[in-house]
Amino acid sequence: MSVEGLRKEEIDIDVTPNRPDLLDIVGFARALRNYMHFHEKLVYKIDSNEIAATITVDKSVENVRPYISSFVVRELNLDDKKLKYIINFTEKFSETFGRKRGKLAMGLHDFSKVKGNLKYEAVPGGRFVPLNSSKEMEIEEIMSSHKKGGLYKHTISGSLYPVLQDQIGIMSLIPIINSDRTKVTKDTKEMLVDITGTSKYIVEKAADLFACMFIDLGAKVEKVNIKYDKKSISTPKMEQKIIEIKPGRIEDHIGAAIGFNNILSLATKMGYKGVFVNNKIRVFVPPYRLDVINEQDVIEDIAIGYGYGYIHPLPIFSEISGGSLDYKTNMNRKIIELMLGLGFSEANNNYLTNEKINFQMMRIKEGPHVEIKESKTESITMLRTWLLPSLLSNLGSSAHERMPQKIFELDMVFNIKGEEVEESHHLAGVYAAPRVNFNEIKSIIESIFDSLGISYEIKEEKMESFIEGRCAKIESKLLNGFFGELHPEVIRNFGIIEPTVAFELSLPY
Amino acid sequence: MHKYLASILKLLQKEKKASIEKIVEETGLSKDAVIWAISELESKGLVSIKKGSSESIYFSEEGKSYAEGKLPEEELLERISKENVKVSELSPKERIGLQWLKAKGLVDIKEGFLIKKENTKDAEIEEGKVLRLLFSKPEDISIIRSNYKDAFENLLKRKLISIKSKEYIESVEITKSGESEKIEDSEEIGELSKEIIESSIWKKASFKKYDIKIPVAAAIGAKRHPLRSFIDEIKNAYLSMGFKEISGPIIEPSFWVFDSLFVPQDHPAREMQDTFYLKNPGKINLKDKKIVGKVKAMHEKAWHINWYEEIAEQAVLRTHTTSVSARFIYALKNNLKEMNKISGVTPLMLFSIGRVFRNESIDYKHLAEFYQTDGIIIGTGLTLSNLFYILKKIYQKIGIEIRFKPSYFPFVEPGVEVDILHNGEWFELGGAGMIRKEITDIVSKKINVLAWGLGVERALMVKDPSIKSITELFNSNLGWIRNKVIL
Repeated sequence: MSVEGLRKEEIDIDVTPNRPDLLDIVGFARALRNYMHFHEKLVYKIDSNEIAATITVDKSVENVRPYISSFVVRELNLDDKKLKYIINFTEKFSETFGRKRGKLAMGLHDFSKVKGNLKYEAVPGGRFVPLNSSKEMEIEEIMSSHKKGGLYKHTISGSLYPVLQDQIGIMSLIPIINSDRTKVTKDTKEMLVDITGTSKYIVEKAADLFACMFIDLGAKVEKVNIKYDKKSISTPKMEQKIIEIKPGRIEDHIGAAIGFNNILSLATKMGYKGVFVNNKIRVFVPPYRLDVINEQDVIEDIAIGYGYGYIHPLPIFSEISGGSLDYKTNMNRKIIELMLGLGFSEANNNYLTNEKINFQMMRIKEGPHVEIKESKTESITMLRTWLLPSLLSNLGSSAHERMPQKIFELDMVFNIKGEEVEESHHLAGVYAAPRVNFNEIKSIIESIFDSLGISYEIKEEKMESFIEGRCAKIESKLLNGFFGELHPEVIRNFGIIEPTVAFELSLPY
Repeated sequence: MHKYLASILKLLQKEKKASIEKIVEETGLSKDAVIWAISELESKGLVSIKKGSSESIYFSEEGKSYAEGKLPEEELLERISKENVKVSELSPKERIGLQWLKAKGLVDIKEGFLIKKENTKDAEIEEGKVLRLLFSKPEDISIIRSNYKDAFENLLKRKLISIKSKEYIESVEITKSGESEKIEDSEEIGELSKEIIESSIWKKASFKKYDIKIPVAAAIGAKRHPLRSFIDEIKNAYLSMGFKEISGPIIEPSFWVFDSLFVPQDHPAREMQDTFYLKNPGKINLKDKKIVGKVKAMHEKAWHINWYEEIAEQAVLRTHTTSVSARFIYALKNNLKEMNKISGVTPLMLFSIGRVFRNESIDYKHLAEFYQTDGIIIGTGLTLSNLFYILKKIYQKIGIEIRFKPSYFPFVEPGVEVDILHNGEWFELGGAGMIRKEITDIVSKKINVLAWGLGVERALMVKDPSIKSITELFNSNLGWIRNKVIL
């Protein structure tokens, strides 16, 4: 997380997506307390060995939404504010980290309203009264006409619906909506939390994260037994991952001399319990951290605790091998110089375009081209296959600037040759003036070839973009292209008001 | 007296009065030279210039289209003559026509239908006739105007035509003092010529002085595009620090943009709202199956979700140039020579700069494509402090102040946000960090890699406050390029 803005009484904080534990105020306050060494809390565990409930997982959920974790919260002392806060956070978590409830979602139930053992299964249909409603509804009806059914349709793909049920009936259509019967109110004393999703690891880790939150809220958490077909587990597991790192590795990675004791204190600051064992630092990753994969993540936290601002920039001592530019850059620079010398200014245009500009306005037939699947902008549908349409658009937008107008572009175009996409560089120039003709562009193109020392041949060419009989192709071993006087219709299509001549060459890279 | 002035004055002393054309003909001077000379003579009070004015007509877009076709009221009138027309079904153009017909009292509306009044004849819309007449014979404007005064005024009011008057010089007359002026052909040299240089006249003669304050037309020179020029500046900064330039494809399978960089397949950045997916080609086959297998294993182990090759094959426009860096890091696996060098003392320092794409709604602040520069340093024992040093140094060379903040990107750990100071406020320029071991271990357990991907346009806007929005940089308006200050 980082501070984004400071105002008189407000601070904007940006939380990065790898830290869902900081998305709620409780987790945020916990991180801040540890960071400031103020009422640190490094160890989270469940004291009671009591199993509050058992959920049997039916095989039918395997291909629907296979995993569930759960726990029971007692001694809650809810009030309106606390309840609103808990509900808001679970919603936010399921939306963001849970990818709109698809990957993960959680539900809350008044545990005193739950009767008998619980079952998690996928069913073709069923009836219950949805949350905040008085009317019993069929599942299909909820999916088609209830607001939540519409919102989260994407989470269900087959004809079976995952449900959590007790002896009385359906408690929740997962992850769409709970039943009104087990609704949590401010008078709720005990709460059952269910978390479901597509990844076993994430579903179970999320239970750890939420259990920590309830512990910080002063409640008591009890485990729930999850009975799968072959084995059963109790959640939250509250596992503390142990990572051992040599202190030298930390310093080598960050490039700062931090010191043994300092490292331990920095680890505490970032919420890890740490001890020295055999010249190594052993840190216990708190159960609410979902993002810590291995030592790199711990090293980063220690670097953050140390403060990026205090890390002194250190040069790299290396044998000087010397830099170099891509041969394309070197070649391009020479050509750009040449074009500037010929009086052409340099353009910088978009690669993205559409069929109207690339083909129709140029009076040519549509050929194969790279097409975009879905674009937020209507005028973007493809990548350009040549440069002239871009340059003619430039002239159109410059129609009232002084004449003569000369502009060139040296950049990429995209074509499809057979099955393969060909990304290549073209050079193109356009020249508009009250009196400009075929011979002027011919003299320019010949000057380019002569300056590059390339011998060439000029042949007749017919292209619909140009006036018939005023267009030619130029061929050589390295560069090939065409030039001529643009057809008046093309000139008008782009809103240009003067005669315009043009050339385009494909470069060998 | 300048010789041009002298020759014109001489002519006028004889003729008393002459047109410009006549002076050009008699003196053999160019028209520009004559105009300059007579204004000089006028300022000396030796001649007086008689000016006339002429009017020319201009047609608006609308006026032009009506002149080539018909006025909306003419069209509507014609339709009414042929069929029953309902007012509620009129097209926008016909509604304009109706306004004018009603104003002229040529039609009535009865029970929702348009009815032509009995005394209305088709030929009665004079504006149409006048408009077409003007369009075919614009030079007859003054005759047409006096013959059809009302219709002409109406066309002006409707903004279908407009008039611009232009001054021209009718004649030049000699004044009293001009007549008595004694003409001395002096030896003062005006324009220098090859003949004057070759002869020895200049040794004795004096040179006519120019008025250095006279406004002159601006020269039109060719210029580089400011963004392209800035990109070259960045390349030079890298080059001076020993970096090698690399490049890579714009169109990539998702694999090189996301999967190879440890971005999980359900990451929000991969959604169609943010990334351009392609219809043609829809997918690109992954060639190196060995690397694909390792990447699959790395994803499934770390992210605890299934990994699908079909998703990694989807063709996209790269969203960052880090795909180029990724290709080079993985390529090292098959390049022993380069690997040996790196595990010695010489880190491999590479950079790239190129276009990247985001599926954005375009407005004055957002573009769907822009530039990014990526850098990687591959070596052994590289540290976060080295990363800070290199980045500070590069941006120092470009003349930009940066700072570092903790941040998160799936492929780096530690992750760094690089901020840039713009008008006293810090803005995010991009991300940096040390490439995760999960990635580099696939290549070699010995190496580590420093990496960054930073924006280009924002940095230029910091350097050049005259650039107000990123869209300016992709317009290539010739006037903008010509007027751009380059320092």
